[in-house]
Amino acid sequence: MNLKQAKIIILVVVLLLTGLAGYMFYEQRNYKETVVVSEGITEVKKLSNYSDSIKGSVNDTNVYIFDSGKEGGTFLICGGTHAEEPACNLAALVFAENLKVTQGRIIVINRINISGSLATRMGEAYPRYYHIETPWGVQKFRFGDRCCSPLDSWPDPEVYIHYDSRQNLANVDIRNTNRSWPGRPNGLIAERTTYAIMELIRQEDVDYVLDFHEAELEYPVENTIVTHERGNEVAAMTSMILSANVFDVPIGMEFSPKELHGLSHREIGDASNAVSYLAEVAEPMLDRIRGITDEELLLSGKDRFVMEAGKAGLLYAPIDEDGWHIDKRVARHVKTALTIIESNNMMNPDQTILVEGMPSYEEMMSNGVGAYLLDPESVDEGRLYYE
Amino acid sequence: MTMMTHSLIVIAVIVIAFVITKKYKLETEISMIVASVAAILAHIIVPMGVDPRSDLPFTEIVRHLVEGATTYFDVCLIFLTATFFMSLFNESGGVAFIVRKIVRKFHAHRMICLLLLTIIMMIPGAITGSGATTVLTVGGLVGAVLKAMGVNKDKRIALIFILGAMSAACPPINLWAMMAAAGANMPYVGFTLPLLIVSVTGALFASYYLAGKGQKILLDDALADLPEAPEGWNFTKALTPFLVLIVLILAGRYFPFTMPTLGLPFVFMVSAFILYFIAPKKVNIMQTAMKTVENLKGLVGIMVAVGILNQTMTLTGARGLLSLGVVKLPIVVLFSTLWLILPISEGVLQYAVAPLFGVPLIMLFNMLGYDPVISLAAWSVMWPLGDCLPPTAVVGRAAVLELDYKGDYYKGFVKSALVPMLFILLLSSLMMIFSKEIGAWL
Amino acid sequence: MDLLVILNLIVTICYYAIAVFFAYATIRNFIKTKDVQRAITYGIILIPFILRILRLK
Repeated sequence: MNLKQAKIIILVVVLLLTGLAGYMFYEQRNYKETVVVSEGITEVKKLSNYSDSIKGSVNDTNVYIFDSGKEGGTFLICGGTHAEEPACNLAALVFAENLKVTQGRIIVINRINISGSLATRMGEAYPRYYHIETPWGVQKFRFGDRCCSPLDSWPDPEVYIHYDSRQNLANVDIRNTNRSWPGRPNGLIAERTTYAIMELIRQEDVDYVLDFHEAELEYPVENTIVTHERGNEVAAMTSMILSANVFDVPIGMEFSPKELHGLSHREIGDASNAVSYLAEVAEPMLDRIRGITDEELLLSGKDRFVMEAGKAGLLYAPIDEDGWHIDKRVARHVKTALTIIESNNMMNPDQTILVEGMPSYEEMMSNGVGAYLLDPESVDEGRLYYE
Repeated sequence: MTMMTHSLIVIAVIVIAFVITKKYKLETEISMIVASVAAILAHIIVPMGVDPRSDLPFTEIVRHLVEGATTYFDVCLIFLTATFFMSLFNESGGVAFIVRKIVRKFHAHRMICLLLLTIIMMIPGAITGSGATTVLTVGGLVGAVLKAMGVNKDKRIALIFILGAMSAACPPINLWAMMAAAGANMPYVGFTLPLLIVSVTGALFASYYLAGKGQKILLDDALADLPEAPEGWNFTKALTPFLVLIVLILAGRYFPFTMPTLGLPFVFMVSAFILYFIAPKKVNIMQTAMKTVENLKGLVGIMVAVGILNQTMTLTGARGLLSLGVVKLPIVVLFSTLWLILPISEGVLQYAVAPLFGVPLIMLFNMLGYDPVISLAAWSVMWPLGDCLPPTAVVGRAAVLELDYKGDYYKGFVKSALVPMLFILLLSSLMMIFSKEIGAWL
Repeated sequence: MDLLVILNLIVTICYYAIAVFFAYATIRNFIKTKDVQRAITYGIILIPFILRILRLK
């Protein structure tokens, strides 16, 4: 074989591999998830209805509004901040597809950071999608990156200086929608996204906000509610109710550190009248010490290496043969949100919100999350949305 | 078979494939890719343990390999643009002009000259976080002055490497600390002083240990050995591109909310653009770009290959097993071996080691009552010292390239660097062991 | 659109131009080289450039 032939072969191989993978990246970036909104929906807006800062970008996400028309509180539920934490957008989706509000208002965003969900995190060997079994078939979801895609935010600076505390953070965090609160209208996409949500919070006069997250078991802020100081009573009561009566693994409660900037539990509470909460649940897929990385781990939350670390006392959450199944993680988040509503109703009766149609923790644990996702082909087009 | 055995076999296959391909004289980056493919083959063939696992179709294997290749794209762009800028400066005669000026001015004051050179070397890495950028931008220039000062070739390259590594460790930007802190959800706060103390002490020790002694510089001989600078150069012309570089970087730092986000590659290209127009000698831009890519093909190729290897190791559980192995070590063993583990792992996986080992170690040290900020700062000085170790040896290779080093890589270069490296590792280890006390004191 | 957003967009476009510039230099080196291993290395280096320039990854 001469040099010219060798070069042609090299070129063909490179182009074939790049072409095949490139098509798969393209496919993920253009895959649309379906959302069948519950019959209790009042209005579906775009985030850009609240701020032009996000208009025309991939992060102009759907905002699902459930308004009872009866005076009460307003609660914003945020899912999908980090697209590598699947229980979060799923928990928000369970709300969007099942919720009926009989007093007050609930606003749901399933995917705050759509950009992050359009590509997987480089170097982490993540699957592109995960699949949830439902009574009507399998529903497919995008699995993504912690941060916005570089295709929507390029370049990163050498160091990310948070607006407006000027705290220095790792450069990639300029694409992280839980390091960019309260955002600014003319920053990069993550900052513009959080700014638009802050505008939503201000314009809709939101009383309290819950941001869903998952965390590695090696991380001390685990299975807990992180609260702005104005939410301590509600968070404490929620934690007590759930730990005593519902969850097998207790959920804690802790204050948002004042010196750590850019996070929703700190900045939303500081920059608006809304009280901010953030709920964490264990996700072994995020641990650096995890073993084989695949969709099975993503869904079952069962990993032998993480279990080994648990035996050595290196974890902040228990893990056994049952793992941390996606059904359990979603059920915990849904139940935490519902209990925050109940606790807030008790503490702040003028902000009362009453809901119907949501599955209980026990129902979700026995039937699985898929039982509460609706078939897009069985409803009329008016209830069907894409993300 | 357990998943642990599975991942152990994958690691063994990676090592064997790498050794065999190197034996057949394949380039390091190609060997790493062959090792990655072998690892995936082993992953498919060897049973994965008792738990159910997802299918891994051929298309997904290709996707993983290609996705891994993109991991360090931004770092590659920094290498390319920084080197392109310095190549333009070098080829248009700017380097020769500055070196001749330094030698003429400081030939009688060795210690001051050395201090000046140390500062010149520390600045690029301190503001970019990349030791390779330091070596590729000012390494050649400083190396030429060291040569004029009579420092032998082994000590010269050893010093350029260590200063490159220490500049990367030096605050304000230490990428290892930043990445690990981000992974552990810690703000990048409180690192400046501990990083500064160890990196500057290490840099000064290396400078005076390796180049403190030497014969007096004979001005005429030294100047005769140096290349002539083309007519038309002066200090204003020579310093303007660097000034633009520094101003743009600092402007982003001081006016982050009114400046657009530029990023280092853009800043280097703007500086190169300005340099092209003010340089008295015009060079062919495309030829310079091609030469830059040619010189950097090993370095950039390795960054692409290490991304592929990292993705493969994560996919197969090999990365997790290594990480688990480190955090499960007893603390005494950890204290006495981290000075070896961290540089060696840096040599294998580059920046990927910061979240890989850094995050679990932060959690572990936090749990054991050590100061996580001081400890992470100590590790973040140890990591860059591994950048002269195989298989990647990114900064070491850059130094070889810039200094056109023809000596023996290990017996000449690495051996000369050993004493200052051990000094820095000892200093960092002490800082880690006494992190609680130092944290309270700082 | 805010001026800063426009400036950030211009910088992003410049990055694509920088990527095209170095990808072109890499392709020319690939054509020029007489060594198979070097050609493989250039081919590997091209992968992330192609994917970014085509806005795929």
